[in-house]
Amino acid sequence: MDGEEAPPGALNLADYAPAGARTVDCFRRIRKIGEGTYGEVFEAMDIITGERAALKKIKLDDGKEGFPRQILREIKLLKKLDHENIIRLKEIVVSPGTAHGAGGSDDYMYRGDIYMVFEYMDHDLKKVLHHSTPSQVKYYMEQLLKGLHYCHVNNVLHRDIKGANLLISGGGKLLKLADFGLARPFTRDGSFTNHVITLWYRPPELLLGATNYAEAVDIWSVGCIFAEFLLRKPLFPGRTEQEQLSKIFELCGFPNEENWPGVSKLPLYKTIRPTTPTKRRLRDIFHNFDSHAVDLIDRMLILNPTERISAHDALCAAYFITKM
Amino acid sequence: MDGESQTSKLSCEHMYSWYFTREELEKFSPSRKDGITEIMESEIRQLYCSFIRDVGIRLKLPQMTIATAIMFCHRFYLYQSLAKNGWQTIATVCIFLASKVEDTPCPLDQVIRVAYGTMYRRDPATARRIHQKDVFEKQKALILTGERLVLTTVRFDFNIQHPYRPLLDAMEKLGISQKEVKQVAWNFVNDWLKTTLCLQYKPQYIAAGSLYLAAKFQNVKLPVHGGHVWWHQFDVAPKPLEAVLQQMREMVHMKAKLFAHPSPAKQKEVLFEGMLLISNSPDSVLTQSSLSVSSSSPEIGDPNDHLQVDSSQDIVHIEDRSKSYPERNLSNLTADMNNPGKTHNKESLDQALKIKHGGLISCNQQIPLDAIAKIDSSTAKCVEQNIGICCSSSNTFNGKILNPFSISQRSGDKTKLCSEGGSSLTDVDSKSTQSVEPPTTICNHTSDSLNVDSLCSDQRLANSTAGTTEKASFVLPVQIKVDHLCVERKKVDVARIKDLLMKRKRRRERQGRCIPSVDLSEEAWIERELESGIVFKKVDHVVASYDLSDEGWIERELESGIVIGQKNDQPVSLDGLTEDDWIERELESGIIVEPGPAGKKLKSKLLSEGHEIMNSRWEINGKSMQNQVT
Repeated sequence: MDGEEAPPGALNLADYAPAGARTVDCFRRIRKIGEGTYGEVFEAMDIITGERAALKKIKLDDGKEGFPRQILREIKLLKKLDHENIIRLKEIVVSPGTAHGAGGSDDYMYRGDIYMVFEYMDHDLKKVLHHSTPSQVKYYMEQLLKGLHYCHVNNVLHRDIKGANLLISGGGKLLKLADFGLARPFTRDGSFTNHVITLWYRPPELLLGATNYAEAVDIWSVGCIFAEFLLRKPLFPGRTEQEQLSKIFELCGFPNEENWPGVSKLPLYKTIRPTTPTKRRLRDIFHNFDSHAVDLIDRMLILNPTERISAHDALCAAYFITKM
Repeated sequence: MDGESQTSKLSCEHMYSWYFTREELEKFSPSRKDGITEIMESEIRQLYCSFIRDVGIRLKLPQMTIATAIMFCHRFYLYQSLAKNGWQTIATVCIFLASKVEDTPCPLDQVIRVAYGTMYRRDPATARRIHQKDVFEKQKALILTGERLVLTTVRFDFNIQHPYRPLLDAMEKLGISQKEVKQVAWNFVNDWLKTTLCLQYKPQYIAAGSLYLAAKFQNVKLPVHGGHVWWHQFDVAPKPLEAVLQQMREMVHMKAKLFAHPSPAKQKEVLFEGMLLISNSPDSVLTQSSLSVSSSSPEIGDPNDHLQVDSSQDIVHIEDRSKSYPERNLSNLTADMNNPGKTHNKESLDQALKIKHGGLISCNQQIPLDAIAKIDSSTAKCVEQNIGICCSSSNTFNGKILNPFSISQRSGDKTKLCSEGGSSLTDVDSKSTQSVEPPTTICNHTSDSLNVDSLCSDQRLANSTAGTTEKASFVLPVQIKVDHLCVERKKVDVARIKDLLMKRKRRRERQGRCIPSVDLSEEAWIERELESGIVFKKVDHVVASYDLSDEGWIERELESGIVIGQKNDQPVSLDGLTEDDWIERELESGIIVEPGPAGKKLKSKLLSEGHEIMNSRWEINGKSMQNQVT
């Protein structure tokens, strides 16, 4: 007996494919551990294996263009990246919607929530950023740079490095780069949005409207984190983009064609005015710290992105090689 | 039962792999439980691959995106049944999803309109309904729900690699500079994408096998000693590679063997599959030419008649099977039509048409029922011949019955189009003749047989003409002397082939002038294609550079179906279609890809010409029917 192919509009919505994505019912929620613009995050446990996990609910828009492209990109990148210092995306699970809410249509099972399942990490770097010993700082910085180097080697920009996105577990022994929601593949001659990276950690080229940028944007963020470890307070806590630029130039000097060739061509360069003094004095506020650390921070926070140190070179710097 | 338990086992183990053995794919496909045979599944696979390709080309999506969409569709039906999920909807969803995943986004509204139009391209009235708001909104809701279904079924796994990248990397490392080898290997990769090979082996195995076969066909030796052993350029193990090559050889061999000397003793399934291959590619014309040339019977027409009758009977069998009817041969079918049960037969024919969904056209549809009813038993054989002609020519001439008059008319129409359209029209004509190149071995065979020493594409055109001439001779009285027939055929062949070769030469000269100005964009396009398929590596990433400086190479790249992205402002023709067929398909689908102002003028002119051609074709059809009745 021969079967017939389905008519054009038919979809099998009655049951899940046997090997498709699992449902969220495979997990027992323990508590909510985060909420904000990025959506809710729950601590949960896999009922079958007993493993702990972090369920991050995906924020779905109005559905005009279906599943959000940004999420597709994040999932694609995360599944590809495989490194001990990068958060691991274990799977995606779905939650069936309720029959009532869907107006009785038979596709309710495919209208529910979708969650990204990550390995569970105890807390983020914000909790230890202002309370770490020099040896802990070096340990964290090394792991952060290793994870970032791996990203850059695979042509991935993170574009949102900050304390909240650096997770720690194992009693503080392991640091992982997390939240790739703004991450994207890059090419040398690409053109990308400049409205990325949280303001305090945003590099000057983005604040001046550059769209042709590369790995150096992440290095600037790392430099800000490094400085914050030592100072135990944010380095450039601006409240507006203009104020952010002012704070940067106050310590790093005012950009000109001499210290940053090409800067005058950036879209927003004309909107800024020189302030006095214009001389770079970043080192002055670090006079009581390890000279190797200060030297590395200085090279991470160079205004000209092409002169900024790379993750790889940073790992080879004297700061990591020299024993304290 | 056994299959069901196996599926459950896979589910329980959370087996996260997209690769299975051939036996597993054949036995445990979810469609099998719903009564869909392996042959039917293979047929539908061809349909949705062609559909995705057609829609992707119309949306100007790059080839990597089209390949990704096809892979999503393959993987979806690994776990979902074809009997429960309409392939048209799933294919549309996969195109939409792939366009987002590959960072070549296409607005959902546009995807829906183009896909719907392509789905109903043979039914203009239905195709136009997509412009109604309620129909559109319903279709949109269907696609959005389908997207969730596909996402869940493919487990949100969007990292799909394709063989193109490892293939190009390896050829560069091996220093392979012969353009023909590159072209044939690339074409092989395109071919395997439509089969289950890409569900059995990882991309590097497909790439390695394709390169090996291409080198063999082109008599290029790959290094097997020293530091540059050819298979070391791919990340492959010898034993699985040998298995891949074995399957590839089987597929190529089956195709070639069918073309060379099919025999009635063959299994029905094998022959049917061969017919499917023929109906899905321009090779059907090549096949006819090969058969004619290789024939050594004193009655030249007989072998073809015999083959075609067999083919049509097989088609009838398949249709009977679909309709759950007992098997019957063509004679019985004809006899039934003379019975009082005419209405019943008409209904069954309509049903057959619906079942086919625009796939392989039933030959019975091509002949009006009234005409058949009027034919008495003495002309039954003549009817069989006509049916055979319809079957063999379904791909090229949409089943229209031909005679010497119609050939002359068609030739005249084409000449008229060329003269009126000028160089722009010539460009369109040039594109409409581009098609996926068949394996080189077939071309070599044809070249030897016809003693025509020219490029494969020229051979295809020449063969198309020769095939037309051959088919025309079928309607002539059998009493004509053999010698006379040979002489006539030879004259027509030589004249036609010479004319086509000259046209091709002039066309190439014009293309030669155009190519330098687009050379840069070609390189940029190649670079973008490669980037979209970038493979993540733990060591330093190496970007392969690829130079397209050779005129012939560029032309063949275009022929292989590689589509330039947003930069291509000219109307994009579809593979394997002649100018007339392309125009007709455009008319049927009701879709006009929005060209620039000049293109728009050209398109409107082509449309009006298309109408004329359709009208004249109708007249020709009527006249030929009258002749037969007489």
